[in-house]
Amino acid sequence: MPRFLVVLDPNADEADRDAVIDGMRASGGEVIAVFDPHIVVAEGDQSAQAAADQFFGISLLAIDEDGTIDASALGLAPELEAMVALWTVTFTPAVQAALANRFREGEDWGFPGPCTVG
Amino acid sequence: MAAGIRTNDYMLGVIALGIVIVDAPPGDPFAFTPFQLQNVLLEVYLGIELLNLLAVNNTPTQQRAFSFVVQVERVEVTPTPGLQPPTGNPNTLSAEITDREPHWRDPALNALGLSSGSQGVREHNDALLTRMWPGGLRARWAYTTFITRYHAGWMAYASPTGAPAKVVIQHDWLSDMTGNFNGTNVGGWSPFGMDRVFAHETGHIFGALDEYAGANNNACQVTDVMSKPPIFTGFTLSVTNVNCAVSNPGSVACLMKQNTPNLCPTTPAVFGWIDLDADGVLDFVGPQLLNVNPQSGSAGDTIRLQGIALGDVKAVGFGGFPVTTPISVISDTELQLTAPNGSGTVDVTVTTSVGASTANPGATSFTFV
Repeated sequence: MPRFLVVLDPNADEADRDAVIDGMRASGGEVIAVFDPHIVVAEGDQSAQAAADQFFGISLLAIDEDGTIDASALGLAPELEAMVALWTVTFTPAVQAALANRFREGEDWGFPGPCTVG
Repeated sequence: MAAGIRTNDYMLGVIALGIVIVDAPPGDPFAFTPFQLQNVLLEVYLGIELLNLLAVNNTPTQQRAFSFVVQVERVEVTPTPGLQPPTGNPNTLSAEITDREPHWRDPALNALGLSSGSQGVREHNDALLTRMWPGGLRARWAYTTFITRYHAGWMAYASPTGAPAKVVIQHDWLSDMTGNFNGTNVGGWSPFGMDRVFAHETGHIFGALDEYAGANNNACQVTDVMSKPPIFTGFTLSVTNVNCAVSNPGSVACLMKQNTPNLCPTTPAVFGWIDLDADGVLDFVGPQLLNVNPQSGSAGDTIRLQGIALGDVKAVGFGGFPVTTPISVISDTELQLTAPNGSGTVDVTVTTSVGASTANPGATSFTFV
């Protein structure tokens, strides 16, 4: 199921923004993470995406499979643009390569003791 | 919060993560660069994605077991005097963690209007738990993650029990690739390896035990047992750390043991990803009512219900007497409502979209007087 990014409209009423997420979930979409207050990373098919996209509270719905979205061209406020850029960069070849070729892959954590404290 | 229930028992439902970036003033050598700030948030997000993938791959029902709601705060603080660099000495590790963290943690908490020390972390977690999130989501669990470039006693650690739930990430040490950060002779996991460490520490927050050997073989023992507060009457989740590398030469790859995107068979159970009755629903997703307060009264009295996964409430029944007035959701663990007309001693039940809570004789009964 594809991931998609929802940017909630900062100028919309809270109820309208909530309706975006409610509508998406009601159509089988799932929330992966909400970055308060306006960014939602979700998973769902086209019906879930369409459900989210029909409400006044949405500013942008983005699907990115190769990191080609130019966040600076979306006309968003700087903090929202930064979050969209953060998400799209995860699909870029550079980040995908870094994830696929990990430094110290498979090594035991090797901490001196438990990494938990009371 | 109901007695015995903490903010971080099961990795299920809506999890609130409060990220506190403890930054230094501009120009300070401990200040984050814009790239570092973006990268560390990217790594946290990738850590959340990894945990999601692990849930889909490791829950008995192949369910996405949880959603994260994330609040990011950045504060610029100057640490209190006396903050020393770490040494990496295993023998002084605990003392160094305890000594160094308050120098920057408490000014950060104070800058957010919170108390110093554990009380401030508790206040932060409670605020995460009780606030409303976009989409009307309410969190069932909450923990705070401090990310800083200031000195810390270790590159990453978690406080899952006792103290309020928190994770600490020392950015520079964790992202180190020299193998000898700051003369400690201990290296990190690269700027693009923080996601798995964050996921590992989050695993601790939800009860998973370390499985690597550690210096002097002291990180884990195969006899370690993780027990959690009872949720079902007469049932306490108790899991033995059989994948501990010290005493199990056949231990398998696991995020709690090594830098890997896999889990061993025991860790999912610790997280609460279990389906004992094989009904296709994870056992702890449903509402669990633990306490009715007060347990006697009359129609019109204000009643508080405490438990787990109550936020999605659809109905409350006092035996055969349904609550017909509005139900106030205080948090995912607490409801407030008005007692309906009724008679006798009855079991109170909460129904959500998943199902109804089961009676817990004594604790969840109510007597009409």
